[in-house]
Amino acid sequence: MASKSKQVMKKAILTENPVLRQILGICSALAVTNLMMNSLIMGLALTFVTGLSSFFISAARKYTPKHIRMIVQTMIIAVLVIVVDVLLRAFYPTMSKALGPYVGLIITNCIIMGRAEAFAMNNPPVLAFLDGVASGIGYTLVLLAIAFVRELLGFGSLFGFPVLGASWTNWTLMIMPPGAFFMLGILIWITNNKKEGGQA
Amino acid sequence: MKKRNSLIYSVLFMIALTAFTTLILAVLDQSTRPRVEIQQQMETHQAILFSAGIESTEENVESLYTERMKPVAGEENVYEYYEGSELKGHVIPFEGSLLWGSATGYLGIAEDGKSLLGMDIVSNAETPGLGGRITEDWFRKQFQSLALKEEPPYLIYRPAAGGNVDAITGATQTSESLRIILNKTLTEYFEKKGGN
Repeated sequence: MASKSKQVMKKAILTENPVLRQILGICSALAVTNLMMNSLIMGLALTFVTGLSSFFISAARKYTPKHIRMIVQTMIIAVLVIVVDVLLRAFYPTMSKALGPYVGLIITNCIIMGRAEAFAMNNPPVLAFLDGVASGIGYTLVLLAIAFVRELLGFGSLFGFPVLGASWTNWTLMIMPPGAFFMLGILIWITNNKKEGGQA
Repeated sequence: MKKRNSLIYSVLFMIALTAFTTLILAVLDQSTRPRVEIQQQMETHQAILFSAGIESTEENVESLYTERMKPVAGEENVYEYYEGSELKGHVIPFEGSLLWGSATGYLGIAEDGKSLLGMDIVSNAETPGLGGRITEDWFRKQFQSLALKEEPPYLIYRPAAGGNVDAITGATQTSESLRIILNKTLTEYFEKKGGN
């Protein structure tokens, strides 16, 4: 069991990383990565939703009629997303404002539904929870990596702290949508090359 | 196994799930409501102050607000801005539609009508990082102590001739819609003022 959960974690974070290998959750990976703080909160919110939704979907899988399982999954995911939205609005209003509609749009993140269908429906709750959390972490790490470069070059800061000094000229392009496409493209290119090189 | 796929089981399952999840959300919503309402009121007060050119923190917003702002009787959401006992200007609300949805905010106008005190956005539905940047400091602060044109349009984006504000790169539609709303609000305000 221990080795199995380890394997699940490794797969979800590294070898089958949801963003870089499965190309899921791209929309939000492009949208919120101009600041590291936004990326971190978005990643944590997604980890929370994916972990718990996988847990509940797995726990209910033996009682869920097969032909309505999608509605059940969507419902569980939607409830968790609203929970995140309400909690952010009540306890972290500035972040709730910064992320805007993207919190609500977590529901459309393919990673959650993907893990629910591919993993949670066929595995016990605890393992499904681990898989969901690990997928969320894999997503968060990629977001942070992209945001690191974008915020550093685009604002000259990291997590809002200026690090490059006043003489640094901001690359406005990096905090605009093209910067996100460049960074994500480069990251996917590098990781895919590495994988093929390592296995060939 | 057969039982699980029957219509009656599916319907009952969905009803039970819906009732349970709705209950959870209702409880959560009720328990956080007071907190959210306090925050919303504070945000509105901060926006009104910012429109008069005053930056406030969570600690001093309420004291500044009661000291400097006086609601105008008979007009909803219109405030007089005082420094000491001197009337410095008015803060008026504006609303209209930007690119993706409606937006609301406040606009502060100096008493002589020649310049703005400031501008702040309370709500908007623009894309974060693009049109959503209308809420960023550099954009909002442009309107503080901004000299208005003498004739409408009072606000013009640079680099057009006579421009006095900068639009947002990559959010042309949002910027332009906002400019139209602000100019319209200003025109109405001055017409009303002139008429009195």
